[in-house]
Amino acid sequence: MDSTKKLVVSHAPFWHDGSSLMSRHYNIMLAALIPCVAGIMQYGTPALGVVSLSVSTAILWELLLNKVSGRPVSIGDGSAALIGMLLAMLMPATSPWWMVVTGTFIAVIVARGVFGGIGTNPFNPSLVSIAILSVAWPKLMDFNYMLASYDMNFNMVYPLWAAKYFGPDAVASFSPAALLLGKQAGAIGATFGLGIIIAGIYLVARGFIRWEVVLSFLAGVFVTALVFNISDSNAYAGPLFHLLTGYTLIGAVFLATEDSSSPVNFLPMLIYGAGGGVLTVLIRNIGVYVDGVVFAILVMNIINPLIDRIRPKAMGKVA
Amino acid sequence: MVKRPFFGLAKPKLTYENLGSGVQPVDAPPPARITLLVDSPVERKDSLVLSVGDKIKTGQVVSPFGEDGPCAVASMGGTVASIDSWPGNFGKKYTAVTIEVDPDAEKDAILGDSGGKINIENLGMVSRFLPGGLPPALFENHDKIKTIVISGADEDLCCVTRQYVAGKDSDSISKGISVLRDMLGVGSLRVAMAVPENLIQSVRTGEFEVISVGALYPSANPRMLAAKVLGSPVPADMSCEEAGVSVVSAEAVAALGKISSGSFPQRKLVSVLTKSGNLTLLSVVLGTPVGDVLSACSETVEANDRIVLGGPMTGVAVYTESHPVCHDTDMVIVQGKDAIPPVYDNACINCGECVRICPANVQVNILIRYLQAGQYGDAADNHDLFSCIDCGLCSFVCPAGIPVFQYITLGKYEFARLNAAEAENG
Repeated sequence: MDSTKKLVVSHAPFWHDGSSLMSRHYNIMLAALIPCVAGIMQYGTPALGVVSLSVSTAILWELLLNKVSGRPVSIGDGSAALIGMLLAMLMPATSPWWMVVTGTFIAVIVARGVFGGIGTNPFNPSLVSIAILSVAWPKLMDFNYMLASYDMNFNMVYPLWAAKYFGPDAVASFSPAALLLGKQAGAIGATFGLGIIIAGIYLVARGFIRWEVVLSFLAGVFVTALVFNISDSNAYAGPLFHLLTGYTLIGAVFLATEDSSSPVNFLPMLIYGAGGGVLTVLIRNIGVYVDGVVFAILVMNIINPLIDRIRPKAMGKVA
Repeated sequence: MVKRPFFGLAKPKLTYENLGSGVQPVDAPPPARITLLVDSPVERKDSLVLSVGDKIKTGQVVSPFGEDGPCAVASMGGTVASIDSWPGNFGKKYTAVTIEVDPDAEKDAILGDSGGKINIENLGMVSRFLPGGLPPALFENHDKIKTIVISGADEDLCCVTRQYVAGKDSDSISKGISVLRDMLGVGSLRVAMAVPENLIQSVRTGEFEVISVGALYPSANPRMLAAKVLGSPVPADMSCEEAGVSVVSAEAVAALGKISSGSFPQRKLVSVLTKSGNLTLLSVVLGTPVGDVLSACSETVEANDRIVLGGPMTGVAVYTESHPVCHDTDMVIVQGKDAIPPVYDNACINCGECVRICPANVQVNILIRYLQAGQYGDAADNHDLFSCIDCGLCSFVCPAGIPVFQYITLGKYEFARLNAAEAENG
């Protein structure tokens, strides 16, 4: 006991694989930049404004919450910035500034902060915010209305709206390739399908999101849309159209996969994803909303803790 | 340190160290002092029967609290230099007897009066100096043991101690097995030897079954080995020994064999991993301060480094270089201060990495919430706390840096403490 050298003492294990919340969130943001930048290039400065404002105010709300609640400052882990970025990607490019600020307030404070911060939110914060914004200001979340001033070299009608009210014939001019390349009206980060798919492949390969959720969500959308399409092809658009329009792809890759509100076991992940996909098309085809992704994922968030109980028995458990 | 692979879709794989063919243990020089840790706190110094200046013989049973009290066995003789209280983990207190070593000290008869014969009665005492150590539950449940698994596979990463003994010391192991057979008094005692795949050729077969241990951590964990031998997992609320199987280090079995043929095992093998990543197999006198062991490997320890007794996943960090090498210290690691990964008090983000890597299928993401909230009863009853096999993989992969394994250890300790208190108070 004569040694005066102070050594670091802690509990095992003494190794760590080097993963961190920061690298996880920054990698997701890096991947999200692909569709995000495509949206900014398409819609110009207003889109850049919405994204910048959303990311920065999300960080500021988080900082404010840290200060008020006397917790350590947690903006460095990138989770608040990610919420802001995803929220912006779901909004129309011309959203007014106050709606963006309200949106990040709802996402960071109401949907996450009051539950206890990172990891404690039962719902995807960005989705809670979008749901409240679309119910509170339906007009400002209506892509036909908000993007009316844009004149692009393609049909600027919001495809899901046209398909819902005028049938599949009204959207026959949208080829899958054009939809994939983002030649459609929609939210800032939701239209460039190819970019979202590339981002998704990157994130799945790096292990930051789970393929089980992504693929089962897409499969749920595809199969349900196919069933509707077969039952009445004059009233319901085909499965490929549903996969490539609205929030489907961004929902599968960035929203349904949110850690805290999605299951962790294999079978539950499949049920959760597929359930979200099925509900999405049900809401789109027979519900009142034009796009069903937001409410479909929120509903699946509710049952997430319940379905995540389907799991292998722990070792040595008799009962 | 193994890092997360760039492509992280599959779970990370940690593999055990393979003993190279040319590895030979190096004898560390005999220490100037040794410290014996006696498993009892110093209540009153004046009640001790041992005092500073007393002469100790090599191999003498040292009982500072009187003949029937807890004891230790001096691996080298000399003069008692100090008797101090020594804090262990989780509030445990030891009595540290430090002996100034005299190389010419007289040799005591092995095991005092028993004439070197090991039986269940003196096994508890033997286990206090037996290199490799015996599971404490072995003598508490000795009448239940039907199967002994001799583990020639090291429990933790980077360690080669047991592999070396299993590969090189078949004679002593055979003798040790006969000691175990006689002692446990079970005619049909099933003996199996667990060794890494690359060692199967060098293990003598015939006397026991040979089980191959996979290269992937934690396949050499005692509960995993027990499950493999029994064909089904040990129930979560039982120790392996209560289920009739005991996993014993190959080094301990070899040492039992050596004692039965009249030699006193003074030294133990220790794998030393230095800051620069060099692995050395050292033969060290039991009780040697860990600082001396590191000097023998020309390793210098600086302030804010970390010394770990045991492996990188399950070892115990010590706070001083004076900490002795104990009978169950298979490995010593030094980590430079820059190589120490930080831990955080984050909330679980529910990413599921721990659940996917858990070899015991514990729902760690749910369990950790109860443990962080201090609800140990719920954790134990409804969330599989005791299914945990203490491998530490959950903490290793946690991106939030939560010390999950520490919470689990604390949970098990607190649950046992609360249960004991409840039993006592009705």
